[in-house]
Amino acid sequence: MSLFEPEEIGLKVGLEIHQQLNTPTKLFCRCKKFEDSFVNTMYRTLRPTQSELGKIDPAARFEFEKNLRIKYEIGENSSCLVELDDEPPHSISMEAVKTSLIIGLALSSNPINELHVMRKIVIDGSNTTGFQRTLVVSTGGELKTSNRSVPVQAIFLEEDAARLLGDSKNKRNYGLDRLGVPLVEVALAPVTTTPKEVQEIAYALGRLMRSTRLVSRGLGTIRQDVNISIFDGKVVEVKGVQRLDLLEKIINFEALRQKSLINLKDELINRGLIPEDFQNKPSDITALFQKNNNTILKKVLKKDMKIYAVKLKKLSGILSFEEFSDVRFGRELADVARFYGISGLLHSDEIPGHGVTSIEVKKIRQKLHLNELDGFLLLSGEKGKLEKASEAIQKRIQSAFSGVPAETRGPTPDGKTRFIRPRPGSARMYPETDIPPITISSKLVNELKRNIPRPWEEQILEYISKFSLSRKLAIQIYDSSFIDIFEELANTTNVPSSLIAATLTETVVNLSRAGLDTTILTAAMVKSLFTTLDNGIVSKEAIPQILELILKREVKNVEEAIEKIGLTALTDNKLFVLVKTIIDENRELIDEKGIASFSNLMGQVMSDARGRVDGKKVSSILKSELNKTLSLDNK
Amino acid sequence: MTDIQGYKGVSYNLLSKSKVSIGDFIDVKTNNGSIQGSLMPRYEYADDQHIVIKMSNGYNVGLRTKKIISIKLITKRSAPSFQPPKTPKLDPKLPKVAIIGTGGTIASRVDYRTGGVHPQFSTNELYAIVPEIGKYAQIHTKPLLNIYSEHINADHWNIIAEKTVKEITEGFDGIIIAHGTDTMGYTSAALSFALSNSPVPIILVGSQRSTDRPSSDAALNLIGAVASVTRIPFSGVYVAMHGSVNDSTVAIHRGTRVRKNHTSRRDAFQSIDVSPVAFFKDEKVEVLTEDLPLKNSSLQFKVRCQFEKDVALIKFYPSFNYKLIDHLVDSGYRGIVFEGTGLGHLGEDCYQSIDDAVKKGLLVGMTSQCIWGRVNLTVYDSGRDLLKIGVIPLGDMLPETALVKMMWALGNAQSGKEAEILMHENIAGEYLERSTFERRKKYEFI
Repeated sequence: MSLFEPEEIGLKVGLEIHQQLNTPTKLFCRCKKFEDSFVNTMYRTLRPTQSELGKIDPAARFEFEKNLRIKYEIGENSSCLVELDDEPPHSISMEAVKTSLIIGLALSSNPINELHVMRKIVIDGSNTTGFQRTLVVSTGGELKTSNRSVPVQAIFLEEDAARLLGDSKNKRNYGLDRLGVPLVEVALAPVTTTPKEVQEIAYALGRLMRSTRLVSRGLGTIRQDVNISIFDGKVVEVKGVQRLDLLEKIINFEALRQKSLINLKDELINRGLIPEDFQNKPSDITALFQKNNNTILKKVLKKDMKIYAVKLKKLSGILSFEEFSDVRFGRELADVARFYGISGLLHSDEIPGHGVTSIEVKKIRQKLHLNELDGFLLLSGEKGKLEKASEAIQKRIQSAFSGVPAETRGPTPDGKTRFIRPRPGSARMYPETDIPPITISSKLVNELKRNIPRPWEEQILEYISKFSLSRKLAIQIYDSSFIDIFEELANTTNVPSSLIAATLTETVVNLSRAGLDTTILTAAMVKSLFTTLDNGIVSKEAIPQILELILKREVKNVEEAIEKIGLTALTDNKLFVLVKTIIDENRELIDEKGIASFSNLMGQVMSDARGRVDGKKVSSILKSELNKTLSLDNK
Repeated sequence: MTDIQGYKGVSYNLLSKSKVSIGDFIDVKTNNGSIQGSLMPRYEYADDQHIVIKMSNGYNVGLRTKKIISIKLITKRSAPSFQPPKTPKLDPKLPKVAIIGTGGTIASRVDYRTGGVHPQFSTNELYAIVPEIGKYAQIHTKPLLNIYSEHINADHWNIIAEKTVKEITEGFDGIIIAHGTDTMGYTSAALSFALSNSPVPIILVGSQRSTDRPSSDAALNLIGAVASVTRIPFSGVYVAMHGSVNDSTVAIHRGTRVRKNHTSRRDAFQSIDVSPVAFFKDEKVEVLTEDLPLKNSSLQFKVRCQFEKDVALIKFYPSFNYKLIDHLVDSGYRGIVFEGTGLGHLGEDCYQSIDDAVKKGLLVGMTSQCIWGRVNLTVYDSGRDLLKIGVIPLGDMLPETALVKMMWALGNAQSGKEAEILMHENIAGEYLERSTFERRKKYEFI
C-alpha cells in the first residue's frame, strides 16, 4: 500500500531515457568497436572554466581542489586520439543523426532545421574533454502508451561518457571504450502520475526505440534519469537508473523523502528558527578525544587531522527523526559531508554511542555552550576540508527552510536515492566550435518519415504468427539482445522457433539468476549451438548443460562443451540397437509385467541416451519394439 | 541600430526587419509552433537561410527562415555584470616574472550566450584562473600583441625581442612569452639568435587545446614554464610544453632545437636530436643537462634583433623545377635555405641556378628534410658538387631554425661575408657537436 496519494502531494515525474544507438561507428570518430581490452593508460586533470561573469561554479571548483588524478584505460580498437582529446572531433556520424531523427519522427517530434553541437561542461572525468558533446535534434511531440499520452520536450543526440572502472579518494579510473558511443536522449515532460505508471511509460518508450531496430539492446545500453517533484518543492534529478523494475521503488522513496523535507521546513519554523541561525564557526575539539580511540571519528584520523564540533541550534531530535522508513535529515547532512570528502561524521541524536561516551557528550555541550534543545555535529578529517564541509552542511540546513533543494541524486541498489551533487544550471552550455552546424533538409526529413517503424504492438503480433510463438515469448525475444540471431536461426534452420526463443530468453535468464555472466554469450556461439542441434549432433536436452559450461568459462565454445560432456547424438541405428539390448536384458520383467514394463525400460534407455537424442523419439521406438516383442511372445 | 553579427542576406533582412539584436530574448513563430530563446551570432561562413537561438535549456538550434512566420522581442539583452577578481597578495620573497602576451589565450572566460571566448590577460585574472603560479613567482602580465601565431612575421619577432629586453632591463628574473603554437618554434629560434647571452631565461609557452575547455593543457604548461623560469640555472630561450599525453610533465626544450611534430597532440613539441633541457613534474624542476650557458654570467648580453625577410626555405622534391630558384634570385632574395634529400642533396638540374644565385651574392644553405640527423656534403658526388658551388652545409640545424638564422644573419651583418661567418658560428645551440643515439623516444609517456 502506498503511503501517499500522488495527486494529493502533487507528484510530478519527468523521464529522460538515454539509449545507445547501434550505429557502425562512434558519434565523432570512426572507431568501430564499442568494447575492448585495454592496452594503454593515460593520466589527466580537469580544471573548471570561468563563466562569462568571471565566476567558477563552486562544486566544480571543489572537484578540482580534490586534486583528482584521472586515469584512463585505452583500448587499441575502441578509441583513437579523439577520445584522448588529442585530436579535434571528426564530422558527426550521419547514421546516428538519422536514427535519432527517426525516433523523433516516431514520436511526432519536430526536427530542428539546422543542428548545432553544444558542449555541456562535466568535469568529473567522465569525458576527457571536460564536456559532453550534445545536440537537440527535434522538439515537441508525444508518447502514446496504452492508456495515456505523455508530451515530449525534446530529443537529443549525445556522446556517451567514459565507463567508470573505479573511484577512490583521489583517484578515478575510466575506460575510454564507451566514450563517444552515440546515445539518443528522449526527454519527456513532467506529468502528474503514479510510480507504477511511470514504469509503464518507460517500457513504452524503450519499446518504441527498439522497434526501430537501430538501437543497442541489453544491460547498460539504456539508462533512465528521473526528475521528481512534489508541491512546494524543487525538482530533484535521479541520475542513472539502469533497472526499470527499480523505478517504482525509487519514485516512492523520493516522494516520501521530499514530503518529509517539506514537513521538516514547517517544524523548523515552528521551533522559531531562521536560516541565519546556521552560520556557526566550528570548534576544534580534537583534544577532547585524545584518549578515546573507539569512535569512528578516530578511524579516519591520521596525523594532522582534526575533530570539529558544530552547534546546531534547536535541532535536537530532528536529525534522527524518521517520519518514513530510512528518511532522516541526519543522513542528508552526512551525504553533504561525504561530497566534501569527510567520512567521519556523528550527530547529537546518535551519541552517546558509536564509541562516544556520555561524559564526552557533556564536555562537548559545555564547550559549545549548548542547552538541551540544541544539537551538534562532530566531523573528523583534514582541517581545510572540515571548514568547507561545515560551511556546506550549514548551507544545506539553511536550504531546508525552503523545503526540497534542487539537486542531483543517484539510485542505490535497494531503490533509495543518495545525494551526488547540486544541480548544474543551463549556464554550462556553449557551442562546440570544432563542428560546423548540420543542415537537415525537408527532403531528408521526408525520406526518414518513410523509415518510421511500425508500432511495437504490430511487430509483436507479426512475431507471434510468423514464428508461432506465445505472446510472452514473442515479447521476450523481441526485447532481447539476441533478436537478430534469433531471426537468422528461425529462418534458416529446422529447429522450432519457440525452442530457440525460449533458450535465448528463459534458459539464459535462469543461468544469469544462477550467477553466471551471460554477457559473454556471443551470437556466434548461439549460432553454432543451434546449427549443431539442427544437424542432429546434439539433442535439445543437452542445451542447458552446454550453455552452463560455456558461461562458467570451462570451455571456449560449443564444440569443446560437447566433447567435455561426451555427447554425440545417437543415430537412429544406434538408438535401435540400444533399445533392443535393453529389451533383451529385461525379458523376465517384460514377461511378468507386459506393457506396464514400459516406464522402467524407458528409464534404462534414457540413462544412456539423455542429451543425445530426443526423448520423444526414444519413447516411440521403445513402444513399437516392446509391442513387437509382446506380440511375438503371444504367438 | 541592431547588432546582428555574422548574419547576411535573407536572415539579415528578417532580423533587421524584426528589430532584434544578438543576445535579445525572442519568440520565433514557425510552421511547427513557437520557440523561445536568445538570438545568437552567426558564423561568418554559414549560410543566410537560418537564424540561431539559444533555448532556455542552453542548447542552440538553427531555424530555417523559410519556416519562420514572425519574430517578436520579449526582453532586450542585459549586459552581464562581470566581477573582476581581487588583487592577489604577491610574496615579495619570490622571484619576479613577466608574462608577455602575444595572442593564443593562456586564460580566458566563456560567454555562454554567444559562445565567444574573452581572452583574459590582467595579472589579477591570471592569478584567479591559475592560482598555482603564485607558488613560484610574483607574476606581472604584459599584454603586447593579440594575433594567431600563423600571422606572426619577422617584424613581430623584432617587437617581441625589444619588449623582452625592456622587461629584462626593468629587473625581471625571468620572462615568459605566451605564444600560439603553430610558429612558436620559429619565434623561439628568432629570440635565441636576437638575444644571445640573455642574463635571465626566456620561456615561450602555449597550448594545443584551447583554454575554454576544462581539459586544456594551457594551465599546466604555464605552471611548468613559471616554475622552470625561476629554477633552471641557465640563460637562453626555451619552449615549455607537455612532455607526454599525460597531464603530469612539462618538457623544457631549447629554443633552436624544438619542433612541432604533431598537428594536435599535447606532446607535439619535441627536442630534435637532443634531450629536453629540463622537466617540470610534481612541482619540481629536474634539470637534465649541464653544458648550457649559466644565467647572469659575465658573457656580454648581445641584442641583435633585425631580420631580413627576403630569405626562402625550399623543400626539394622529385621533379623540382630550378626556375623557382631563378625566380627567387630575380625577385631580389638574399638567401635560400634548402631542405635537401637525405644527407643534403638536390637534383643536378638545379646546380646551374644555384651557381648563379651564389655568384649574385645570395647565401645558400643546406639542411635535410629528414628532420633528424645532420647533412654531410662530402660523402657523395652530388654533395661535393654543391659544396664546390658554394652551398653552406648547416650540420644538424633544423630547417626552420636555419631559415630564421639566415634571416637574422642577413638582418644584422654588415656584409654577405659577415653573414656567412655568422651562419657557421654556433650562436645558441643550433649546432650540436655530437649525434647521440635515440634520445628522442626516451621521454614519451611519463
